[in-house]
Amino acid sequence: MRKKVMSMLLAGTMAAMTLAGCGGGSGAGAGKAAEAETAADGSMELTIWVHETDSSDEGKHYASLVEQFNETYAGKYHANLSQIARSGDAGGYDDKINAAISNGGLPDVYTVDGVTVAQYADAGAIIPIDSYFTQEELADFNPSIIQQGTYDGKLYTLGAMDSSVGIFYNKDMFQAAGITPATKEEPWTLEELTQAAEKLTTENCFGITMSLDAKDETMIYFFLPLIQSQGSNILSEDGLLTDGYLNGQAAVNVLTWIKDMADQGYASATPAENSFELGQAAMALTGAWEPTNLEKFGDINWGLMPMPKYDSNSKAVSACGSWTFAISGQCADEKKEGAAELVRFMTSTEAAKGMFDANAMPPSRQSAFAQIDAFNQEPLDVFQYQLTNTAQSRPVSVNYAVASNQFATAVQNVLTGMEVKEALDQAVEQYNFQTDTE
Amino acid sequence: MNTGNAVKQKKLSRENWTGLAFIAPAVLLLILFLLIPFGLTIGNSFTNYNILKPGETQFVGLKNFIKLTRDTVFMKSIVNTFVFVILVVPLQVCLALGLALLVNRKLKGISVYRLAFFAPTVLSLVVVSILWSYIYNPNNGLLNSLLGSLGLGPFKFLNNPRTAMLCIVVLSAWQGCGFQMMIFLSGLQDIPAYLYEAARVDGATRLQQFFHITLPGLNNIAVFVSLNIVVSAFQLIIQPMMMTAGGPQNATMTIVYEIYQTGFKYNQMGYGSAMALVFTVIVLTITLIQNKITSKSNED
Repeated sequence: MRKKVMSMLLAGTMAAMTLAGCGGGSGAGAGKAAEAETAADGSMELTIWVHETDSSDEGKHYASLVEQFNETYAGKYHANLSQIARSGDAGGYDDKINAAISNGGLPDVYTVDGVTVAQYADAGAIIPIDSYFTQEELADFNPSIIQQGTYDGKLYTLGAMDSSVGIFYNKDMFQAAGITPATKEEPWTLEELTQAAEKLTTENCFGITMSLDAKDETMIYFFLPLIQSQGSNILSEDGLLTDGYLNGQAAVNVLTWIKDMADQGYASATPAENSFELGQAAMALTGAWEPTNLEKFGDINWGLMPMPKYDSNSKAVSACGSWTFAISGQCADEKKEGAAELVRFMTSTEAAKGMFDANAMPPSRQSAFAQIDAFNQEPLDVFQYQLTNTAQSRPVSVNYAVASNQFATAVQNVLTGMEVKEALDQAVEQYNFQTDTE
Repeated sequence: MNTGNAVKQKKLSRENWTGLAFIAPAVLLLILFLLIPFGLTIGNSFTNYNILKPGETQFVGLKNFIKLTRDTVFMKSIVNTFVFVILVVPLQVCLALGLALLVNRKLKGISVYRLAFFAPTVLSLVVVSILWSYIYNPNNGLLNSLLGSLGLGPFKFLNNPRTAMLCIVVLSAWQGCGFQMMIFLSGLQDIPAYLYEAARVDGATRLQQFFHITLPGLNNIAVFVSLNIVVSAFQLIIQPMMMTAGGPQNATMTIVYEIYQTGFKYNQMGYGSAMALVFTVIVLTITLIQNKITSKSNED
């Protein structure tokens, strides 16, 4: 009996493997194969995927933009939007894109997270778009948007929104401690920040909260600027090597500072949720999404300072980067013109301005900044200043995901007792192992 | 069991087609979602398949498996997974049995307790993990507040490589035991009441009743329950993913988490498949051993 079952199982497995061998992508239903090339009114059909569903304001904004696009280009182009939910940091949406890369089911245009541009470009899943945009058009975008979308000398993506990180501070606590906040042009050095944090730290209040318990992309987003501030990075210029960068002196300096802040008790290694919003921390190193969060709490009198620089000899650098639009590598030649038009529409000044209304994120272009009052006055003018003058994108590298993950792991290891240099050396070792770098 | 089969053999042949039709959906699904992916995994594990570059896939022989032997994080994740299984299985079985005994009474409102103990099982593991991260938090966390009132702590439970896995064991047992409690409960109610009556007449104490009636009566259920827990325990991923990201210092990195990270975060499907294959062999071996042991004890 048992033998029979086993042999049947075996036969089944073999049959399955044969099926799988020749079946290839035949089961892929999500493709665009059966789609009519042109709509009834003779306009060209385009497909577009975005990573937000219409349950969020951002998702609704995408939907209304596509609707406007179809009205504007009626008779010429018609875009069909699919809104796909993300689940976690690599769920739903990313899975669907990855599957579509394999089975040829990519749409003509889709959203790409800024840090994955290199990977997708290298794999041919997105194509260069520089030829569809004039120099004047591109000049209006924040420099960091162009930097983030450029791989191997060619521009692949443009976005409607950007993001930035600064130090939110409790004005009342600053006043009580007699601390003068930094201005947007003159950021603090780490030493000045440490001194302020020391003064502000009391038994019930941390000097600053820096999301040190986040074990993900947040770590790079918050702390890479301090490494870049010293003229270094976590990856070499070509985006391939970490030795001497991820474990270089600049990174060692930054992680040592983070560890000191936690050891001295100025910042918590395991911050409680919303500690700044609840008055349990005097400052918060966090991003452009924070004002929306603060609104929910209401009674904090807050201000915003720029990202600190490493020391008086280093330059001011700030974080940036967000989701962008790209033309797929599977877009048919005759559709590319229309796809580029769609990207242009989705990243227009109006689109960027609407994005601010939807999710409060800073726009990707100067003309939109000019039209949004909030960014031309305190406190949010700091973000505009940073995105115009000091923002540097994260490395555009095919191995970025590995390097970033190893950096986050190193920060965590340092905060749980490992020596800084040891943790960073281990990060480099793991990076080399994972990416087969010798 | 075997003699019964022989007798039925003839009858079955007449009903063959009906029978086949009945099992067809299950078999089809099994082939589609288990056997085909499994076959693909075996195939992929010998390639350098990158999820973003399917066109550049090449056969690389045993390269992935050779790389695995040098992979310190993967080795650590195997050890961690075993530690987790060894700790969580007895804890969860005991908890489930204990709860089942507690709620196996005819008291007013007992179903409220049953529901309360069962409730965590229906909660999403993601929610439970986030909830317990708050409980373990050193600043104002529930557990540390309690310990603080006794003059202890605060302890950085999740930030200490020595305690992080233990924290995950406790919350996993808590989350999972309600389901097994229900199974034990049905087992308890299957034990005929006259056995207890007879024991009482013979003057057996409650403890003697438990060891000589209840436990033997639950034997089969206990085997099923522990098998169940072992298999699901090996697949530990959500709790470390939500609470520790495999840290600190890889103390909570598990096999499945490492496979996920390699395949979907680093896009290295080929290498991830090799890991998955090793994982399958490990789980299969353990299940076979467990099967051997339990079938032997059943014959006794």
